[in-house]
Amino acid sequence: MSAEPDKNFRLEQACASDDSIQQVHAQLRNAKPVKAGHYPFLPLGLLGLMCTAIFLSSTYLVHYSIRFDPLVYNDHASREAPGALKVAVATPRDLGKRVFSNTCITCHQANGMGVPGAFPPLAGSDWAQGPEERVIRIVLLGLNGPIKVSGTDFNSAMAPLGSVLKDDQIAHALTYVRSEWGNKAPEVKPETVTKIRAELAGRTAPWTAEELLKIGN
Amino acid sequence: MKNGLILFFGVFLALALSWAGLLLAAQQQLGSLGQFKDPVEETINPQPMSGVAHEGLLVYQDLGCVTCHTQQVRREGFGADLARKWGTRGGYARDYIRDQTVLFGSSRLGPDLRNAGSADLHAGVDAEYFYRLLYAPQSVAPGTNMPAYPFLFDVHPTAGRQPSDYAVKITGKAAPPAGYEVVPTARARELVAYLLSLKDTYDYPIEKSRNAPAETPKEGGH
Repeated sequence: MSAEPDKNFRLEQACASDDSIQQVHAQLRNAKPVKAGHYPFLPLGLLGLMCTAIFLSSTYLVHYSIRFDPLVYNDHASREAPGALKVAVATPRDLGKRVFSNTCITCHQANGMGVPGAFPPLAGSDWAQGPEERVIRIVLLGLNGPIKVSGTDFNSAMAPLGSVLKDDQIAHALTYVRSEWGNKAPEVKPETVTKIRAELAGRTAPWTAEELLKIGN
Repeated sequence: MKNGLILFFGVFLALALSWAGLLLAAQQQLGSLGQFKDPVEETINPQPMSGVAHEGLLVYQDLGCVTCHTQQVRREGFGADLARKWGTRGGYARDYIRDQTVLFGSSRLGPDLRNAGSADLHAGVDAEYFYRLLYAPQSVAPGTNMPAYPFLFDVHPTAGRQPSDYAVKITGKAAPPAGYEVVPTARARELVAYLLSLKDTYDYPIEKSRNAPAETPKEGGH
């Protein structure tokens, strides 16, 4: 039991004589005590840095987020609020082109020149640009037999399209035909087609050129 | 636990705010995007994918095409995507509404495929081209680092059977031996149908008008 205190004493003696330990103890004695529950203040420089970052990013956000519009992908887009969207309105001619490309194009061709010897041309044609009463009747009930178009004789048949196309479709298609490929003839109104269709109620036979020439003079 | 309630609410607030900001706000802004019907052309865009093309989408995912191919065209001023004919315009969010899994990709070891099926951008690129590309990439694109996918094709002898309608003509080094033909399997046909369905060539009037550049681009900050 007597050896124990001796050992401790010798240990303490060693510590007291160690320079490095004495230095550490001296530093700890001089250090300012940390108050319980308090943290040191944020360094001013760091605070300034954060403020600058927030300022710069806000500037960037204001400059490049165009009205916070989710559909804007271009940061150089106009920053003024857009006006009402200009949706292209289909004109009767546009609608007529669609009807023409679905129906008439098979025989009369995209360039309106028809097929020589078989189907008459529409481009520059005296019939297509003639009285609307005739062309509407041709589309409604078809045409059979010989016909002279722009000085050339044709002899074939056109199918009746009155049951396939609605009044406004016929009017639009004719408007397109009468204003395309250099043709210059007035627009055809859907009301006119409705009127003529009502007049022709009961008739199913296709027209002949002779019959039509008596109409619309 | 000390301050347990404050800790709980702090964590809850942080998660709830980021969920609201990243998911809820985005869904609110873009979730209602729908197809657009062009009033003049009467086309619906983006076009719905055909059934075969959708099967092909699964093959595309299965083969990991997304590892090397992106599907996002960057707008003008961001890289050379438009100059490389990978698209006619930058991508819009609306382009992707038909995709359940959006296969953006992140690495461009190969070209962007968002407009792979656009005949206007890539003249002469048809189903036959894609079959050859998949069976023997070097035969159509010499020097490419794309791996071959011969397992998407059946190579079988023509002797004693009617020649296949779908047989792909392969010439050069990768050509099958005489008396054999290369026939794409259903997976290859689906994949090619998917690739040919990829085209964002329609420019939506809403996005187009809102992204029109300002009359006089302003320089400097505000």
